[in-house]
Amino acid sequence: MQNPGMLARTVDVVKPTLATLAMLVACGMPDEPYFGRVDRLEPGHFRWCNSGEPDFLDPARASSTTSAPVITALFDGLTTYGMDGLPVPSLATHWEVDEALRIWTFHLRHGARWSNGREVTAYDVAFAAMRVVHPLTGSPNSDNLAPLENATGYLTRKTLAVRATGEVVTVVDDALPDLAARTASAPLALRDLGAAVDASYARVPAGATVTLIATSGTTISPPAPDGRPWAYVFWPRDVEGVFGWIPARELTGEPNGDVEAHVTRADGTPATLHGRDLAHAPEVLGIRVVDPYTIVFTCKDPTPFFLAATDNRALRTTPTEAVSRWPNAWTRPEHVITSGPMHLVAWHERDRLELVRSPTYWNPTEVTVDRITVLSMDDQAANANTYYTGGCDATAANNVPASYLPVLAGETRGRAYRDYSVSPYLGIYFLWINTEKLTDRHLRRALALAVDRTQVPRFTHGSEIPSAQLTPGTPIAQLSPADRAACGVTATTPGIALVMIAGALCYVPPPGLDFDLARARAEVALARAAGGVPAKLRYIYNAGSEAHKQIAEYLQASWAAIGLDVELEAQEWNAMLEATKQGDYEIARLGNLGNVADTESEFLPLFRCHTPDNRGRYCNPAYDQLMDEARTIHDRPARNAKLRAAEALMIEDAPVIPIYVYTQKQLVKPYVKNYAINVIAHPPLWRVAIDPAWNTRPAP
Amino acid sequence: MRLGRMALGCAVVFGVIALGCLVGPLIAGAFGVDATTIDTLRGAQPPSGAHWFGTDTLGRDLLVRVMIGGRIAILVAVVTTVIALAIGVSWGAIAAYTGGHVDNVMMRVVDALYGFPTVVLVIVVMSVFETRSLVALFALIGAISWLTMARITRGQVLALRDAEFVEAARALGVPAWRIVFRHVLPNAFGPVIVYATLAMPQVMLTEAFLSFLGLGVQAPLASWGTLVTEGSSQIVVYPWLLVCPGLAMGVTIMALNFICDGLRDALDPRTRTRRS
Amino acid sequence: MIRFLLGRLASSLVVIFVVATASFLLLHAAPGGPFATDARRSAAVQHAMEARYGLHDSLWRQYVREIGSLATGDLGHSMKKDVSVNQLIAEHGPTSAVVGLLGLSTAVVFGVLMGVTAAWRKHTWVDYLLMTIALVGISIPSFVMGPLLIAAFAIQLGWLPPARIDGLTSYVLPALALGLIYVGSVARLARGGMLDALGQDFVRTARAKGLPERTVVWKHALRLGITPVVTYLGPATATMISGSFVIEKIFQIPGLGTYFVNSITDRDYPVLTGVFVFYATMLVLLNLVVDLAYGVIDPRTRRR
Repeated sequence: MQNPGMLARTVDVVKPTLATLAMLVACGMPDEPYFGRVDRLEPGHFRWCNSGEPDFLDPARASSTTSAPVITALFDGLTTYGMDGLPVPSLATHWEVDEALRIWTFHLRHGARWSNGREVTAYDVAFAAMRVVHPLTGSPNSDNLAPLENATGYLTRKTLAVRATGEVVTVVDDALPDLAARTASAPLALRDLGAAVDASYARVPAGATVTLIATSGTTISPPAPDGRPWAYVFWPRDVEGVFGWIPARELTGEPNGDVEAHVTRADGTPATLHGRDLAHAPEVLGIRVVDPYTIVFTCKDPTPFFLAATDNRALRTTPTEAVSRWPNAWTRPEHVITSGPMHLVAWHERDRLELVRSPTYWNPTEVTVDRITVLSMDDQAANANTYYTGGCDATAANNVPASYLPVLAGETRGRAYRDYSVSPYLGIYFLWINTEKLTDRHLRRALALAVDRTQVPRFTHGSEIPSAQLTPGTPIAQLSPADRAACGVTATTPGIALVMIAGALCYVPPPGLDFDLARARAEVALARAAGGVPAKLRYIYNAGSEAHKQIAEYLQASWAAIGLDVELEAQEWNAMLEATKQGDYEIARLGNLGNVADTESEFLPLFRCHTPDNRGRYCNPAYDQLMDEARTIHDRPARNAKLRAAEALMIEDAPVIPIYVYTQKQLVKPYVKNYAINVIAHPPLWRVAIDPAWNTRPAP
Repeated sequence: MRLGRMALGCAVVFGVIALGCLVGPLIAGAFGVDATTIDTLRGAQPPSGAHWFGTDTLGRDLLVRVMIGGRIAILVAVVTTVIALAIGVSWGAIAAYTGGHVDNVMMRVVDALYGFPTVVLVIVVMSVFETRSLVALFALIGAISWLTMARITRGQVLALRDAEFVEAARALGVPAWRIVFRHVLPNAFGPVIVYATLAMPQVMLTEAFLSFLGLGVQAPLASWGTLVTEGSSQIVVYPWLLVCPGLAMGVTIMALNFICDGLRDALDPRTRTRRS
Repeated sequence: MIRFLLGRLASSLVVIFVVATASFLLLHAAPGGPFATDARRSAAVQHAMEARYGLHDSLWRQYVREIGSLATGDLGHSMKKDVSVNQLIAEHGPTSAVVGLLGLSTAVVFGVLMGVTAAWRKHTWVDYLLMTIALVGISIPSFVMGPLLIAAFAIQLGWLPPARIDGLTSYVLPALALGLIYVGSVARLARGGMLDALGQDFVRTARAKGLPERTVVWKHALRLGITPVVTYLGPATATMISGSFVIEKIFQIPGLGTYFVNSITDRDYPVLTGVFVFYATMLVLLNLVVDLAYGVIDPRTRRR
C-alpha cells in the first residue's frame, strides 16, 4: 500500500552510468549455460545480493524495498508473503470478515514464540499497530492502517476519548498543548508491565515530564498481573528516549489539565472540555484484542483489501520489551528480539546482514538453510559482478545494469543464460498530464495516441511490456490457461491482466489510448479548433538516468509528428517531486509501483479528486462515484467490473499516459531452489533451499 | 615567440576539429543528415559509409551529434579555463605578493569555496532562477575551477616574491601591480599553464555531470561529456557510442595540452634565454 | 610561528562556520524535504514524520540548534537512519581514509616518477610517451576506469574481488582506481615544476660544480620542482581521504563519500552539514600543512 520510495531509489541524482566493461569479457567467455561461476555454493547458506542497505529493520519505520524481505523474515505477521506474493496464513491460522466488509477478526495460533521465549500474542499485534499510528513514531507506514477507525485522527491527535465515558470526540482547535503530558511526583522506575521496581531499566527523576501512551487492561493492552492500573509512558531522555510501564498512581501532575479544548461530539454537537477530561488514548482505534489469540480490526468503510495489509510492515509484530528500552536501536543485533523464521546476528552497515535460522519459530520445517547473508550493495554492476564471481547465489529484482541485459538475453551469443529471467513487475511507467494546465481532453488524448509504445524497449533494452493500460499485470499471452479462464480472456486477447488470486480472481484493465496516428491528428485538430493548444509544452523528467532521457527524446519526436512542440527539461528528483506536487509542469514522467496485487488500493486511488498523490490534479466526480460504488460490492468479480468501468472512464479523459509495465530481471544460480519470483518482487527468503547435488541430476 | 613543432602540429589538429564541429553539421544537413531525426528502426547501427560514426540507439547520426557536442564542449572548456585563469591567477598572485592578513583572508575564502557543497548550489540555482542556460553553466564551472589555480599561483609567487630581480624592481620604484604582472607572473607561469590544461578535461566532465543534474545542455542537445556518459552505459553491445565521442574528446584534449606546453616554453623567460 | 598557527586556526574556524552555514541554508533552500520523496504518503503522516525531527520550527531556530550542536562537537542525527553523524563518521571514515591514503600514495609515487623523468628527458620520446599516458589517465573518467580494472583483474583474471571490502586484497582495485584519477595530474604538475626548477640558478651552480646529474635532479631540483604538486595535493588529499562517491559506488566500499551525495538526494540536513563540516575541517588542516611544507621545501618562501 505505501509506496516504499522505490522510485526514489531507482533514480539517484548522481547515478554514474557505471558501464561495465566486465561484459566485454563475458562476450568472449566460453559458451557457458550459466552466467558466471556455479562452483562456490555453500550448503545450508544462502547468500543474497540485495539492492542496497535497508533503511530500517524496524517494521514501523522502514519504507524501502531493500528492507521489506528482511523484515518479513525477521518478524512474523498475521499473514505473510506466499511464493506468489499473496498473503498466506502465518501467525493467524484463519480469519473472518463481516457482511459489510468492515470488521475483520483474526484467530492466532497458540505456541508461537519470540526469540526470548515469550509467547507471541494478539497484544503484540495490537502494540505494533498502535505504534505505527502513534504520532511520536512518525511512521511512514501509517497510511496502511488508515482504513482503521480513527487511525488518522489518532495520528493527528485530533480524535480523543472523554475519560469518564470513553466517548470519542474530535478536537476543533488547531494547536493544543500535549494533553498526554504528565509529571512524575516521585522518581519513576520504568519497567516491563507488572515487573518489580528493581527490574527497572530507566529512572525518571521526580518533576520530569513524560507522555502517557496507554494504560493496562484496555482493548489493546494486557491487564497487569497485580490487577491494578498501570501506565505506559515515554520519557524523552536524550535523542532516543525510553518507554516503560509504571503503576498509574505514580503519575500525578497534569500540566495541561486546565487547558480548554473545543471539541465536536460524535453526534455533531460542539462542546468545551478541559484537558483533564480528555485522553489521547489508543482505545479510540478500531483495534480490539478479545483474548490473547483473537484480534478484531474495525474499518470505517468497507475494506475488502484489508487482508492484503496484514502481511506488510505496518502489521508485523514488534517486541514491546526491546522497543521500550531502545526505541531507535532495538533492531541492532545486540538488542533485537524476533518472531519470524530468521534471527538477526550481525549488521554491518552498508556491507551485509547475517541472519540465522530462529530456534523459536513455530514452523521450523519450513526453513532448510541455517544461515542467510544479505549483501547490501546498491550498485547494479557490483551486484551482477559479485553474482558472476560466485559471491552471491541470487540477486534481488533488477539488480543488473542495463548494459548487461542484451548479453544476458542472448543478443550477443544467440542464446540467453539459463539462470537469467525477465518477468512482469507490479508497476507502471507513466506520464502525468497536469489537467489544470492542459484542460482540453482532446489535446491530452492526442498526446497519448501519438506514442508508439512498442518502440520503447528497442532502445531501453529492459524488455519492458509496452502498455497503454493503467493497471499493470502480466501479458495475457503469458498467462496459464487457468488464469486465462479466471480472467475471462483467450490467448489472443491483446493487452495485460492482473491475477489477484491464482486461477480464481483477475482484473482485466480496459484498453487504453494506444498508438493511432490518424486519431491523434484528429484529436489535435479538435483541440486546435477549440483554441486549446499552447505554442510550447514542457515535459519534465528526473535527471540522472539515460533511459528517462532517451524516452523523453523519443516522446518529443513522437509529439512533433502530430505538430506539437514539446520542450524537455531534466530536473533533480526531489525538485521534480516538488514541481509536480505544486502543479508547476505540463507533462511529467513518473511511475507507480504496487505492493499488493489489487488495483483498487494501489493504482486507481491516484486519480480520485484531491488525493495527495494526484499530481495531474484530475478530478472527475463520476469517477469518484464509481470508485465509491465499487467499495460496497461484496462479490469480487462484480466489484472488479465496477472498477474497470471507473478506469475506462478515467483513461478516456487522459490525465495519464501509461507507457510500459515494469519488468524484473533476476539472476538465480541453478542450485538455488524455492526462490520465489512474484509480481511484487518480494521473495520469502527463508523458504529458499540450497541443493549441493544439483548438477549430479540430469538437466531438465 | 616560437611554438615548437609538436605544438604547431597540434594547433593544426585542433583547428581542424574545431572547424569540423562548426561547419560539419551544416554540410551534413545539406546531405539530409541531422542530429535530431529519431528512427528507432535504424537505431544502434555500427559505423558505415552512410553513418561514419554509426547511429545511436534512437537512430540519430552519431557523427553529427559528436560535431554539435564538440561546439559546446570546446566552448565550455576554453571559456571556463580562461575565466578560471583570469580569476585564479590574479587572486593567487595578489594574495601571495601582498602577504599578511590579506593573504590569510583571501586564501580562507578559497578554502571556504572549496568546502562548498557545489551540487546543492546547482540544485538551488536551478530551482530558484529556473535557468537552464549555458551562461549559468559557464558561471558555475568557472566559479569552481579557479580555486586550485589560485593556490598554485600563490605557491609559485611566494617562491619568487623575494627573488633578486624582484628586489631589484622594487628598489627601482616599480609599482607593485607592475612587478606582479610583468616580473613575477611570467616566471611563475609554467605550473599555472600546466594546471590550466589539466583543468580542461575535468571541465568537460564537470559539464557532463552538471547536465546530468539537469543544468546546462538539455536533451536532445548533446555535448561530448553527455555523449561519453551515455556511451559508457552501452559499451558492451555498441562500443562505438563511447569510442567515437571519447576519441574526439581525447584527441582534442591532447592537442590542447601540447599547444599549451608549447606556449609555456615560448613564454617562459628562462627557457627562452637558455635556448637563445 | 605560534602566532601564525593560532591565527590560521582561528581563521579556519571561520571557514568551517561559513561552510556549515552555507550547507545548511543551501539544502534548506533546495526544493523538497527529507520526507517528500514518498509520494503516496498522506499529509497527516508527513506532518507526523516532520514533527519527529523538529522540521516545523522556524528556519532560524533550526539553524541555531544545528550550529549550537556543531559548536559542542555534535554533528547531529540523521533523519533517514538511526545513527548520529558522529557515529557515521567514526564508522565509515576510517575505511575512506585507508582507501584514500592508498590512492594518494599511488598517485604520488607514480606521478612524481613520471613527471620527473619526463622533465629530465624533455622533448624526447620518453617525455611525449609519459605525458601522453598521463593525459589518457586524466581524460578517462573514473566511471570508465573503475569498471575497466574490475573487468581485467576481477572478472578476467579472477585475482581480486570485484566489489566490497573483505580482506586486504579488496583494497587494491579501489586504491588503484582512485590513484589513477590523480596520477596524470601529479605527473604533469611535477614535470612543469621540475622544468622550472631545472632552469634555476642554483641547479646550474650545482651542475657547474660537477655534481652527478642524478644528484642534481633528485636532490636539488626535486625539492623546488615538487611545490606545485604539494599545493595541488592539499585539497586533493582532503577529497581523497573523505571518500569518493564514484569509487565507493563502483567498488561498494562502506565509506564516507557516499553521504556527500546521498545526503543531498535524501535532503538529510544534519548529515549533509555534518559531512561537509568534516570535509572542510580536513581541507583547512591539510592546506595548513601544505603552507607549512612550503617553508620546508623552499626556504625562499619563509617570511623575513
